[in-house]
Amino acid sequence: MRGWIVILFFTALCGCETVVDLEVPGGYDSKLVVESIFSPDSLWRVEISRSVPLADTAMQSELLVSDAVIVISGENDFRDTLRQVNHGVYQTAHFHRPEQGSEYRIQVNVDGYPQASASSWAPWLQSELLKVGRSETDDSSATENYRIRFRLTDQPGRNYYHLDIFQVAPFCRDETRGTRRIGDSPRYLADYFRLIFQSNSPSLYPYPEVVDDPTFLDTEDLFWSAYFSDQLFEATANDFEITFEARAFESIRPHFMLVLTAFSDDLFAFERTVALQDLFVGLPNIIQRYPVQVHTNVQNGLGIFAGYTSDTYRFDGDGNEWQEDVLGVGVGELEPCQ
Amino acid sequence: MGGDPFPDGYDRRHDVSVAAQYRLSNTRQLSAVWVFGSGYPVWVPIGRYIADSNHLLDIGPVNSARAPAYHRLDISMNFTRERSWGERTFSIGLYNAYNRKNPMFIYPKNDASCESSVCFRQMSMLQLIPAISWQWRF
Repeated sequence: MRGWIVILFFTALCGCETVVDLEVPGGYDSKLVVESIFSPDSLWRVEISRSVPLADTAMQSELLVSDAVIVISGENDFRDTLRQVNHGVYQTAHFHRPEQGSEYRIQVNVDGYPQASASSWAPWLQSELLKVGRSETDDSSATENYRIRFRLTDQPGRNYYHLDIFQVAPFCRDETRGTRRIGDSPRYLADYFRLIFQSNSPSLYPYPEVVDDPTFLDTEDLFWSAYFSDQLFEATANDFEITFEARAFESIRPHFMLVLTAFSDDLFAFERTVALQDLFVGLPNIIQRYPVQVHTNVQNGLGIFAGYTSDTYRFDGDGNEWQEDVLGVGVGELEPCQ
Repeated sequence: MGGDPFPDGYDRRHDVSVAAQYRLSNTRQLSAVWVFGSGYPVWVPIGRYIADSNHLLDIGPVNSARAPAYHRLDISMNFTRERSWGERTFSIGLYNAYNRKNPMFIYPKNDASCESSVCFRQMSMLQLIPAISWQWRF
């Protein structure tokens, strides 16, 4: 009898997933998609594509749009008409770069579409690396522990930040898997891999979609990457301390890179809504039942035109600054793994 | 949304229930109920695009699409016996007798089974379920 009850219970709760055709009245009008995530470290570069109806089978390359006229304007009569350098890809011909704190506007004209436009800026970022220290390490361990302290001076208004830390490691090419992996030989190419770090700062969150979300309860203080806002240190200087475990290699001494990034409002909203939309796709998610439109600041279009500013600190295990070209980071061909 | 009117999420335009009973004999009775409801509004993506290497969805107007209609047939057979202390009725039946896959959730999915890069899936529950019951009246 008990067996029958169990069978009936599971039969009742058994779910079945099937493909369903849904028709939306009104059809779909293709829109221009503008993509330019800019920073003072890079030249002006914009990618233009178009959106298609959901059921359209066009490949990614077929969505790119050629022959667009793109003008970027800014403060002090700045004006640059971008030149197409590849199918759907446009770049400054005058080596212009965005400037920190400056507002820019983009106008995109393509035949058959209304003019798309957007405005954004590369936000201010003021940071300082205060201290790099080594923690006590067990001699038998193949890892070393480090503690670093940095200061972030926040500007007035709501600001969003991102934090990553990397270590330089020797990489080789795994012939059987067709991927790269960490080895330990002086012949191998030096490159970065991301480190997991620890912090007890209440400002840090592991994902952009949960930043300042009071309902997010995560007791973990380990981060693969951290996002945060200035909610707890508005317009003041705030010190952060993080600790991390670095791998020890015989072929290369410990070298690290700390990357601090300030996002413009629009860029953070874009990152956040991309993550939220991803939660909606693919799962019958009862919590995220309603679809999330990815943030766009493009009028008459989709996509994102927004800036960020990064400060990068490269330091070795003793806290000394180092330059990429000395180690040859990321330069050259990967050697096959032995 | 943006001041534009949109259908409520529970805006079901048609709702029909038909119930029938047939007495086969003094002790046996056949019952059937057919329930029909037109589809609820659903809020779904209508376009797709790529930005910052992400495959993204362009979400349509709120509740602009309609889910498939809901319907099912429930049938049961009742066997009644008079007893000295009252009456006993034994029933066997089927809930959703023709095993209709009614939609519970509808969501987009991007996997190899879709003809385009994204298609809609529905999750159905409570399909064909046998039922059995006893009833005593005294």
